[in-house]
Parts: sequence; C-alpha cells; structure tokens
Amino acid sequence: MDNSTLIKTQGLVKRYPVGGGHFTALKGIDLNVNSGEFVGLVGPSGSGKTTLLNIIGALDAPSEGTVEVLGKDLETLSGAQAAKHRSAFMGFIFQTYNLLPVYTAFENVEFPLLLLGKSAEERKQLVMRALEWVGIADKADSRPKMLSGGESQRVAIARAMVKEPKLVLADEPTANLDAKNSHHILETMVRLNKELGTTFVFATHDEKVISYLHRKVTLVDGSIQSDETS
Amino acid sequence: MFRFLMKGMLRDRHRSLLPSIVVAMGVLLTVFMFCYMKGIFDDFFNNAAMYDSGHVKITSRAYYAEKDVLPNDLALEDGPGLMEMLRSEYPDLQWSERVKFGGLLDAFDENRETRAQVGAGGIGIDFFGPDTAEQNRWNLRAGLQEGTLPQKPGDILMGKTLAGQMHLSVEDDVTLISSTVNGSMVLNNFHVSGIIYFGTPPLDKGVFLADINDVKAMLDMGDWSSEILGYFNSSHYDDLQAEALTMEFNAAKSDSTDRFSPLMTPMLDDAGLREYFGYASKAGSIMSFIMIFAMGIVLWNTGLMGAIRRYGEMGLRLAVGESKGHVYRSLIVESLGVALMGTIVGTIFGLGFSYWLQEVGFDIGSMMGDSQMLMPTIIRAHITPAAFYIGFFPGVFATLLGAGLSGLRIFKRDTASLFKELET
Repeated sequence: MDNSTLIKTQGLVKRYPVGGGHFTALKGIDLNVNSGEFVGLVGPSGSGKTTLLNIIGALDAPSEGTVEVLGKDLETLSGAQAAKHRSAFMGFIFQTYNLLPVYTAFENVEFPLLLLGKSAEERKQLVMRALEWVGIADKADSRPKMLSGGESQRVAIARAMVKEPKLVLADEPTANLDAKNSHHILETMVRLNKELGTTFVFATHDEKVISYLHRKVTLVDGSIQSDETS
Repeated sequence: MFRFLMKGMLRDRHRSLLPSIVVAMGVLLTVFMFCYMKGIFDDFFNNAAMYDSGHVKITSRAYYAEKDVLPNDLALEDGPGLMEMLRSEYPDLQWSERVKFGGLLDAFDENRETRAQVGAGGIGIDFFGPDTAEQNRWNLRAGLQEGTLPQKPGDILMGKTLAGQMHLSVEDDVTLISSTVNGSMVLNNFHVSGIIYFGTPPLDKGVFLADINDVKAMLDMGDWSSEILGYFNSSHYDDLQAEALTMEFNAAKSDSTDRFSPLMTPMLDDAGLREYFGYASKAGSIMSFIMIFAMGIVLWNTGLMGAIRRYGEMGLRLAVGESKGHVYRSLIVESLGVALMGTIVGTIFGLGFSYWLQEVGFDIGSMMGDSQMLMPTIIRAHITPAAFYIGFFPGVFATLLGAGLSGLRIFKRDTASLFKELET
C-alpha cells in the first residue's frame, strides 16, 4: 500500500442473511482513499454506503475481500485490537450526534482521551482546544439537552477530532440539521481537513454535503457506479 | 475512567437510584417475609413447648398412654426424687413439674349462691419454689392485666376471657368442683389474685393457674408428679438433641414392662406436632424459595432492563474505541454497585420493619375466634442471623445475573448492530 493511501479495499462483498437466503449489500468494492481526502460515499438509501463505512471503521466484517486501513488488514485484528485501532486512529460522527446525555459537552469530548490514557491536564487542554475548533468552548459545561442540534453536532465533531485522528468517518452528519447549521458544520469540517490534514469519509445523500466534497464515490445497489474528483 | 463511569452512573437516576430502589424493595420484602414466617412458626412451637409439652416431657408410661384424659392417678411416684435426679444428671435442661386437671368452676355471690358455673382447666405450676423459672417462662408479669401474681397458697390467676365469662374480679373467691386421684369428689376454694392475658385463645378462655403444691394437696397426689417438663438452657427446641436425649434417658431409666416407670417424650411426639413440624419446615423452605425466586426474577429483569436501555451507549463506546470486554466489565461493576447499595438498604429496612413486628407485633385476636390452636394472638416476626444475609441472594446474585446475561449480548451481537442501535 502506498504511503499516502489510507484506505484500500479489494473485492469487498458483504452479505446479510435474509430469510433462507442472503441479501448482498456490497458487491465487490475496490476503493482507495488517500490521506487528507475529503471524500463522500454517495447514493440512495440501501445502496450500501453505511455498510461500507462500518467495514472501514472495523465495526463490521466483510463476507469476502480485504480491507486495509492505515496499513492494517482489518481481518487480522481481534476485537480488542480493532477497538484499539479505532481508539488510536479513527473518529466517528453520527446522524443523531449520540452524545452521552448525562455528561457535559466537555466530558463527552473528554471520553476518547480517557480511553487513550491521557493525563487530566492534557485532557483539559486538548478538550478545550477541540471545543474552540468548533466554536463552542463557551458551552463546555452544558449538558446535551441544553444544546441545539447544531451545537450538539459540533460537540460530536469535537469528540471525533479531539485526539486528532487520521481518519474521520461521518454517517449522514447533517441529516438532522437545518441548512444554516449544515453549512456551518461542513465549513468547520473542511477547515479541520485543511488545517490538520485529517481524512474525512462521509456516507450521505444530502446535496448540501455533496457540494462540499472533493471526491464523490457513487454507490448503487452495492456497486461503485462512479468515482469523481472535483 | 472509573471516576468518569461512576460520575455518569450517579447522575443518571435510571442507572443508579431507580434500580437501587427496586433492588432495595425486593430485598426488603424478602427479609421481612422471611422474618415474618420464621416468627409465626417459632411462636407456634414455643407456645406448644411453654404451655404444654416442654422441649421434652417425662410422664409414667401409663400416663402417656392415656394423656388425653389427664390421668393424674397414673402419675409418677416420688416426684421430688425424680426431680433431684434430673437436675443432677441432666443439667443442660431446666426441669419443672406440672399438673393439669379439670373441673367445674363455681362463682358465687355474697349469699354464697351460684352466679356462674363454667367447666375449666387448671394447670398447677411452681409459683413459690426458691429457684422456679415458671413465672418468667410463662411471662406472667407481662400478661398480668389486674391484681397481683399469687402471693400465698390458695391464690390463682384466671384467664382473662374466663374471668369475664364468670364475671369474676380480683379478690373474688371461686370454688372448684373436681375429683381426687382416688376418685373422691373434692371442693376447693381459690382466691383470684390476678387476671392474666395469655395471648392464646384456648388458654384465655378456659384456664386458670394455681400453685402446684395446692393442686397436689387438693387432688391427694402426695409426692406424685403427673408431668415433668424439661427446657433446654438455650431456650430453643432442637429436635435432634431432644431425640438423642430421649433415647438415652429411656434406655437408662425406663422399663417397658413397668407401666409406672418414667418415659421421656420429645415435644414433637408429645404434642403430635412431628408431621406439622415437617410440613412447616418444608412449607417454610418452599415459601422462602418461591419468594427468593420471584424476587430474583424481578431483580434479574431490573438488571436486564438496565443493560438493554444502554445498548445505544455501549454502541457509542465501542465506536469510540472501548473494547467489548471493558464495556462488559464496567456494566458488571456498575450492576454490582447498584445491587450492593440496594441490598444493604433493603436489608436495613427489612430488618427495621421486622424488628418492629418482633417487638410490637400485630394483633390478630379478633380473627382467631374460637380457635383451639396454641397460637399467640399477636403475630411477631423473628429476626435470626439468616435474616442478615438472606436478601443478598436475590439482591446481589439475581441483579448481577440479569446484567451479566443482558451484557452478553454485547459479545454475541455484531459491533455494527450495537452501533446501529444508536440510531434508534
């Protein structure tokens, strides 16, 4: 794998058992994503984009084919090793933000750093920096129920970015946001992509997101239909 | 990390306070019901021992064979000698003589005209002996409603209901019409020194207590003894110990060819309670098991629901990079914390309520009607050492089992499925 290649899939197939047979969600995906890319997996519902994102994130295993992320063949990793790999190199952003409701914004962002064993002082410094990146440092002590949708998603981005991962996987990150908030979030992610060199991979069918992508991989019925770079 | 998780647990009442309350309630019920049932069974057997059978009873073989008709003419000879031998050879028990008898009680007015007559039972006990334990054993001071305990020969204590039926008051005299052991008619006047509440309907309705020396003199018994009751110094009936003692005594002192040789009988056989005792033990065990099992199911579900409602959170934690094993272990530790907290609180409250029921009791006298069972009218719980740990079985083990089983889904489920549940 090339030094700049972050993700490499070959002949990726994913089948789900349905009734007595199988539903094939991915049909032989070959995909390379380089470091620093801002790429989207685009397609209608059921096209396989979330499944592909989950496999790249080591949250799901393929039925056939290989996936290498950051030089690691995910198939060879145990559950604990996969968790460690995610913890060290990946960040996730979800459609519904998924902040832990009993913790403050600060504590939600702090959580990935606890898994990495960072000291309290280091955690405080990194969390405040991440919250400043997304422009929400003044809400550090707020609980999620006190935050708007846009603010919650910014906290979620800070949580994904706080450990400065090499790869961020975002599944429909703007689906629950209005146009203004969506653009604000996307501009933040574009800025982080440029400033930190973080690779972003989106699964989306939202035109607003698509307009920001540098590369658009279109999936239809589990196959790559087109791969366009702008 | 531990502090972080504990912080979340304490802030989320659904994870800490509510399950702790459910566990505490379940444990409280388990402990309370255990003590309540223990109290009912213990009181029943204690009553039988105290009023009727002792922990062991010695009679003549002939008396035992016809004990239902109180055959005082078949009593043991040389009662004092036998008592001396028992006190010397069997010091692990306290020995007391009793004489039960019956007759017609006649209450009369100032003109010596009968105003009430009632068939009644009398029990002769040792009121005045230098080392008698009978007053304490019968708990007479606590039960005394009016008057005083017998102060002199001829004084008696009347059961409260019996005195009411005969319109007798303290300081009244009453005549007993009965027969001696020789078959002669006897009329004996007694002086009512006090009215006593036994708290056991058959005794309150039909029994009076007299000094055993008065009774023996009245019945012409001389130094005969109808019944000698033995009580273990521990105050608790131990059937194995009673059986062993009985076998030893009967082998050494009883002669099957002599109708008037002494015969020892353990309480369960004398009172015909062996079958009931077996039933009560089994019923108690079954009820305890059902209660613990039922509470276990409730608390297991609490653990289960607590974990299921957090699948989303677990999915997130896995996505962020926590391992399945770590998530599972943290779930178990949290569950253990909740279970211990709830169990300790539930046990404290359960013991508190049980203590109240043990000391104050619950009066069911009005519900007992004409019951002839030697059961107390006040139901009391009985706190035993087991009550301190019985709640831990459903409280800790069931809650942990619930959390453990539901948490196993973390391992069985694809990570992506848990992750997916974030969206729901």
